[in-house]
Order: sequence, then structure tokens, then C-alpha cells
Amino acid sequence: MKTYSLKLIGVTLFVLSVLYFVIRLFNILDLPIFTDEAIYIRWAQIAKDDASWRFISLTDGKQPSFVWFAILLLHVVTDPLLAGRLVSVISGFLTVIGLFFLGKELFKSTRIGLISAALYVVYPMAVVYDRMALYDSLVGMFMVWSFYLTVLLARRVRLDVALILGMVIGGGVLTKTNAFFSIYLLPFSLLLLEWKKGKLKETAVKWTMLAGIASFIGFGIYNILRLSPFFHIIEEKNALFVYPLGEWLMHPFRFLVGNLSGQFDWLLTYLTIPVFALILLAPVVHIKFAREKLVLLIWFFLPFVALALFGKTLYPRFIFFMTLFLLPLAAFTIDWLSGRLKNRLLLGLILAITFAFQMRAVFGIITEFGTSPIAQSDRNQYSNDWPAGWGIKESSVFFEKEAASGPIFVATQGTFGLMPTSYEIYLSDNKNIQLKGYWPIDQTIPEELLAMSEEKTTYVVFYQPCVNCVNRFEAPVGWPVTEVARYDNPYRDSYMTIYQVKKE
Amino acid sequence: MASLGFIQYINKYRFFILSILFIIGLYFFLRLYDLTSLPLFIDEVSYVRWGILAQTDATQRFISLTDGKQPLFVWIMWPLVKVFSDPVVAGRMVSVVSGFLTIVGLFCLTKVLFKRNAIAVVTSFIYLLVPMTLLYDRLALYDSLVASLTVWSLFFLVLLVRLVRLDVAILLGYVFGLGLLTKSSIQLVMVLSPVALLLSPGLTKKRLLRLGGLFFVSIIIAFFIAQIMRLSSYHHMIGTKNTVFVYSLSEILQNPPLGVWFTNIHDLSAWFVSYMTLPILLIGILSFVLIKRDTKEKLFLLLMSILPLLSVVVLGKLIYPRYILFMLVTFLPLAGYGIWALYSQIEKKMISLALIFLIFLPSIYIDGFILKDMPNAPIPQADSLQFANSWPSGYGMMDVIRFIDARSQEGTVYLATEGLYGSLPTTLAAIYLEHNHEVVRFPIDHPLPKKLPQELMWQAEKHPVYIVLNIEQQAPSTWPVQLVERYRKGKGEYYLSLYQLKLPSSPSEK
Repeated sequence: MKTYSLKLIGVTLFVLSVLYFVIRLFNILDLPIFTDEAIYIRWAQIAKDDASWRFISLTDGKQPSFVWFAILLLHVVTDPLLAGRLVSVISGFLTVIGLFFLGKELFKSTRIGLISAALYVVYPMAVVYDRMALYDSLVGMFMVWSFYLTVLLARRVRLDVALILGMVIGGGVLTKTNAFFSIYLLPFSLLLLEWKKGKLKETAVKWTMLAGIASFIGFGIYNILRLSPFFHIIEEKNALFVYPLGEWLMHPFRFLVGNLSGQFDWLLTYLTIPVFALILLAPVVHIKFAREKLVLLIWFFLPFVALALFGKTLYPRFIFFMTLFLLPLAAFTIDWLSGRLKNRLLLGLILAITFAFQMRAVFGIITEFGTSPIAQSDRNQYSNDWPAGWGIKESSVFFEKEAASGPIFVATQGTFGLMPTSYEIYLSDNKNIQLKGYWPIDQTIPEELLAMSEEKTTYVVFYQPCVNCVNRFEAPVGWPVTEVARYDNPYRDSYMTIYQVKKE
Repeated sequence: MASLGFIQYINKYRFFILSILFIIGLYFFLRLYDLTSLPLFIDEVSYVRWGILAQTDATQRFISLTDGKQPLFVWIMWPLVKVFSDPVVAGRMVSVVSGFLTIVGLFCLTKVLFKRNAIAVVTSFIYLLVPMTLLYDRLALYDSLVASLTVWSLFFLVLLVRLVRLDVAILLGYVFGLGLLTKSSIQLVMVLSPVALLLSPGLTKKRLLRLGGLFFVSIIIAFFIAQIMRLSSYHHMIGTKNTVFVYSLSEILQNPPLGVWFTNIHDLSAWFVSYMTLPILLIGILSFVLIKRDTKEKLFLLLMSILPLLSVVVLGKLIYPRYILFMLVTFLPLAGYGIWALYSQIEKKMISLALIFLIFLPSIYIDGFILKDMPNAPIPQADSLQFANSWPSGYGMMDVIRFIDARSQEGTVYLATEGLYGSLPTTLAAIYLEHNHEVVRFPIDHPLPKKLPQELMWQAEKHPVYIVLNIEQQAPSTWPVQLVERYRKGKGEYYLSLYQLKLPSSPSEK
């Protein structure tokens, strides 16, 4: 391994860290709160204030570790949305460190480690998810560290590594079910065992025992979830996104091609074509580290295909953690090119093109998310469609102002999700504001709202399509309400409308 | 070739292997023999009830925290409730299993300290026979589990100071963490961990720093594991409950409880001697002089046994004999060493064996009582009263339950029990009768009211109504009740009494 001075490595990592935090924190609150973010942040607020709700996420079949980390940040950060998003910012930073160690260990090259970390810093998909209060950045972090420790375990076959790996796997499976891949994929790291003559059997037996210990600890930590009465909901919720085996066997390959094509589209969009090309080149440019490259590809490919096979409802974020194993491959090719290409100008040009694509996407994400070149479904979900909470902040200020002069009642379209959850985040401490969600929306206004309007000023918020709403994002025509405010989505012809219920 | 090697190995270590098998066999015989003969006493009743509730109702997984008790004992019991239909067995099996792990841990600790299989085997054998370990391995209490985790903590602590390795530090952290999930007393072992530096081969600054770092890792892991209890809204109850049993530093500084300290010294030393038996204690102390080697190792064991005892003397507000179990167990390798030294120092082996037999004789004598006649067992009175001869003892309650169960075959029966939370009759009735829909349980708060609750009076007109009293030795004279049966608590002066509510209009007996 070529040695670099600690100072040089330290300076490079420092520069990468600064760049990382600039990219992750710049305008981090510009993107409005997204439905799922609102739910997770609200859970964290509730769990923070009431210890009997520490497992609240399980009521929706979600593992709790993201919420637990958000609780810690809610103690120090006043803005709830920022607190939630900072969980991902910190997770992403730990992923940068993890990728540095992974690249360094896997290819015995500090430079590849640094390039892997750099690629992550400007990886558009990471930029999106490290800036959002969603589970995926945290899952990515646990998976990268699991993989790094898996590699270490295969190479060193040591108990301390197994014990730490077990804890990291445990952290992962407390975050999201797909982190179980870090257990399922463990056997493939056998490819990395040091095959010393005559010692293979002994090493393999020892490795098997240690891998067993790591898995045991991982499962043991997962069993913490059994302390909640809602443990069983995880499986029920998984069935929403993944076909249970029995159901899948009836149509094993029906969705495979469609899913694969969709996933591949997201992959290419987020990786960008130059980086994708660098990844493809990694196995062919040099035979060196063939086993390591194969293991990286397996850790990407098997979960990717499994998702395509079993996936029922897919979102781009599901492939995030898988794509992280491709970055060291791209780093390998860049390192190889820099050693082989005598023409520095050409090398510079290749790197410039590579990073230009990435930077263009990154710049878009942090300045104009709604038009950024990322996967369309993400752009729509997080910015351009009704699940994005455009107007939440402004309308919260509006309600607070109204509540300053007396008690008000705020009704929302929807009982779970963006509404009324995001208002609960910002307004539930205000004693003058009473919140309640309504669903489904009928042609006639609920009696309760009419009665309430007699007692206090009553508002209704509409923000998503509904069967009885003639105009999307507006109240049904028969409702006795007056529009008092409207907040437009800057990227789409969608908006949020606030009405005041007329007194009878 | 390989099989020949195996046979040679067996031949070479034949005596050792046979000893181990004998100890294992005798362990389970002594622990399981007539395991249910002693009825559950009051604390066991609560723990067993918690175990059942935690298993059947997922919202009650942290139920022990409502009483300020850590949850690990209850969690270990949770799968055992599924396996054993008898709740007494399920609860006590936690201690049987813990005790077995203690014996394995003691073997490992002794072996790693003194590097001799013989001392490890003798220590394990002493563990089998010491009255305190025999008694507590047969009770559904936290203390056997605490002792087990203490022994394993010490084992990893010794390994850590000798090997200075990360894996050992992590494992030590796990054991400490499990200890924190069991009982606060494990903190004494954590605080006293630096004593293990005695065993470090050469203490350079670099080694000390590395050890410090690794120990920090252990503490962090333990801390994280203990945070699991924050998932319950009753986490704070542990601190609240501890103040009942332990003096805070400010309390001691402001008003040193000298009287309590003297009582504590007297009680703890008496319990220690009584439960260890004098010969075993003496041979443990004599281990220092019989063979003047391994002094640091012996000193380590002595300090890890005595210092927690002194801490309890100073900090203990309300103490029970069970607190000393883990300290007593820590002392046993010294006794093991002493017996081994005695055997190897005396040339005439028959004499040494006879001496060793005499050393064990008092233990065997007491063990006989523990197994066959608990009320008369010569153990500390504080325990014999609790477990057998006073109101906390469970004698009589199973007879009442069988009686009520039989009566319920004929129709609805009301059973009023004395006491609400943590009451022996109320909790035992809940354990055994909650699935009997013909039995309506009716707890009456303590102290007993002068007038019986009106509900019972009404029901007595239609159904048989029985009342069980455990702490109060006589029903208030204002109650219209008739004594059905009295059950003596062991050989003590306390009785559990079963009354029937008798009104002129009550249904007549069939």
C-alpha cells in the first residue's frame, strides 16, 4: 500500500468534511417537510415527551432507531424539522468515514478510500437523503459499516471484529428491515478469506463461528423490539412493500422486468452516466482485487434483484444503501486511471466530466430541488406533488397569529400523514389551537365543524385530491367555507388552501 | 489418528472429565430435588407474576420497573413460562440456570487466576455445597443471576488486565450491561474494577492508558445496554426504589448513621459466616498462609469480596442476607485454593481427605435441612423468617387455592384477599385462579377496614364468599366471618387464615 502522511490524509478528510457539511447543510430547510418526515419527526416529539411511546414507530410497522436518534437531537435543536434532518446529515457523515475505511481496507489503498469518500460527498442520491428526515441515510450508514466490518472479519477472523459487527448489524436492523441483508450476505465474504495453505479449513471454521456470533448479537439486538406490543406490525407493514413468499410464488417473475427497469432507471439517474461507466470499468480494467470487486458487486446486485423480485411498492430510496457498494468500484477505476493515464490533461478532463455531472445534480438539489436532475418520482414526492408540504411553515405562522387573539380550531384534510401531523409538530404546544384531521371528505361539511365554528374560529385546510373535491386541493363546493389563504407549490400547479368555516 | 488422539485425551484427563460430569450431575440433582416443596415467598410471588404478565401481555414487558426493579430476571423467565406449566418451576429455573452459569464462570475464573484445573474443580464443588448458593439457586429471586453476572464480570476483568484486548473489553461491557439490567448492585463491581490492576503484569503508562481506554469501551457498552430501560416510562423508579435501600452520599455526610453501620457490620458478618459456614471461611483465609504463592490473585478475590461488603455496611439502609450472595461467591475460589493447598500439603492423603470432609460437614448438614426441612434450617433468621416461618412465607396459600378451586366446581365463589399491590395472597390468587371464571377475586386494601366492603356482603347472599388473611392474624371482630382453616407458617407464630363470610341469608353448605 502506498503510504501517505497522516497529515495529508487528515487535511484531505478535513476538506471533504467541510465540503460535505456545506453541501448537506446549505438551504437544508428550503425543501418543505415531506409526509414521511412529518410522521417520523412527530413520533420523535411524542417519544421524547412520553417515555411510554418510545416504540411509537412500531405502531406503523417501522423500526425505532431513527426516532430514537431524533429524540436526542430534539433535546439540542429547537427546529423539529432541522433536528430530524440532522440525524441524516450525521449519518451521512459517518458513511463518508465508513467509505474511506472501506475503500482503504478493501483495495489496500488510502487513495481509493479518499476517492470513495469524495464520491459520496457529491453523490446526488446521498445529497438528497442526507438532507431529509428519512430512514435511508441511517440505513446506508449501518450497511456501509457492516460491510467494512464484514471485510475485516473475513481478513482478520477476530472476535473483537465479530462483536462490533454484531452491534452494527443490530443498529441496522433496528432501523429498517432491509438491513437484514447484512446478515444474509455475510457468507459471500468467505471469498475474501486469506486462503493460506493448509489453514483454509481451520480459518473457515473459525470464521463461521465468528459470523454466527455476529449474527446472534444482531438478532439479539433486534429482539429489543419484542419489548413493544406492536412488534408484529413490522411484518404486516413489510407485506405492504414486499410480497410474502406464498403470494410471490403465485407470480414469481411477473413484476421482475418492470421493477428492474424502474430501479435501473433510478440507479442511472442518481449515479450519473460517467460514474456508472467508471463502475462498469472497474472489473475489466485490471484483474487485481477481483474477489473484492466481486463481493462489492454481490452486495449491490443481490439486494437489487431481490427488491425487483419481491418488491410490491417501490421507491427510489429503497435502492440507496445498495448503490453505496458501487462507489468504491468507481473509486478503483479513477485510481487506476490516474496511475495509467500519462496525459494529465485527459485525466483531468475525465474527472471534470465525472464530477460535473454530479455537481450539476448536487447544485440543483440544494438550490432548485423541483427542477433538479434526479429520479422523477423523488422530485415529485419531495417537492412537486401534494406529499411535499409547501405552505406548512407559512400556514403555521398564520394559525399562530390567529390564535394569538383567541382559541381556534384547525381541521385538516387527512388524519395521518402530512396533515395534521406537520401542524402537530409546530402547533401542538399552543393551547389556543385545537387540531383534528378528517377523512374521508364528504360532499357535506361534518356537523362537528359547524358546531365548532359556533364556539371558535374554525379553519379547514385542503392540500390533496379527494373524490368529492371538484377542484383538486380545494374544499367540496357544497361546504359553507370562505377561502382565507392559499400557498402555491412553486414547481407545479398545486397548492394548499385554507378556509374559514362560515358561522350558520 | 484423530480418534486415537481423542481417546488419549480422554484417558489423560479421565479424572478431570469425570469430576466435571459428577459436579454437573450433582448440581442439577441438588438444585432440582423437590424444587417446589418450599412455597413461593412474597418477593418470589411478585417476580413470578411479572414473568407471567410479561410473557402474556406485551405491554407489560417492563412491569418490574413499576416497582423499581430491573427487568432482566423477568425477561429470562418469559420464555421459561412457555416451557414450564408450573409457575413456581418457571421462576425458580431462572436461578437454577443462573447458578449453573455461575459454576461454569467460577471454574473459568479460578482456572484463569490460578492456572490449575484442580483448584477450579474444587471451587466448583464448594459452590455446589455452600448453603447460601444451594438455597438461592432454588429461589425465584434476582440474586443468583446477579452472582452469575458478577463472576463472569470478574472473569473478563481478569482477562482484560492480563491480555489488554478489545474483544475482552466488549464482552466485559456486555456482562456489565446485563448486570445493570438485573440489579444496581453490579455497580459495586464496576466501581471496584480498578482493583484488578493488581493482576496486571507490569504497569507501564502505555499499558495503563490502553487499559483505561478499553475499560471505557466496556463502560460505554454497559451504559448503552442499560439505556434499554429508558424505553419504559418507569425508568426513574429504579432511582426512587434505591433510596429505600441505600443511603445517598449527602445523607451519610450530613448525618452519619453510626448505629446502622454497627448493626450492618454485625448482621452482614453473621450472615456471611452462617451462610458460608465457618470451616469454609477459615480455609479460604488460610489459603494465604498454606501456600504463599499467587498472593496478588488471592488478594484480588479477597478485596472483591470484602470491599462490596464494606460498601453495603456504609451505604445499606435496609439490608437483607441475599445482598451478600455475590460477594460470598467471589470468595469461593479462595476456599478452593485453601482446600487444594491442604490436600497437597498433607502427605497422608487419608488424613487430608478426612479434614476436607470435616470442612464440608457443616455445609452438608445445613443443605439437608434446606432440601428437606426448610423451617428448621440453621440459616440466618432474617431469611428463615422470610422464606418459611413468618408472614412473607407462602405456606398455606396453595392449600387455599386448591380449596377455592374445588369449591368453584360447584359454582361461583368469591375470594377476598388481604392487600393490593405486592400482597402474597392477592398475587398468588391472580397467578393460579385468573383463568378460573367461577372464581371472583376481590382484594381488600391493608390495613383492613372495620366494615367489610358492601359488595362482599351482597354477594354473600348468593355465593360463598371466602376471605384470606396473611399479615393480620385475626379478622376484625366486626366482620361476620367464620374461620374455615388456619395454616401455620413453618414453625413460626404466624398463620394464614381462611374465613368464610357468614350472613343469615348466606347459601347453606352443600
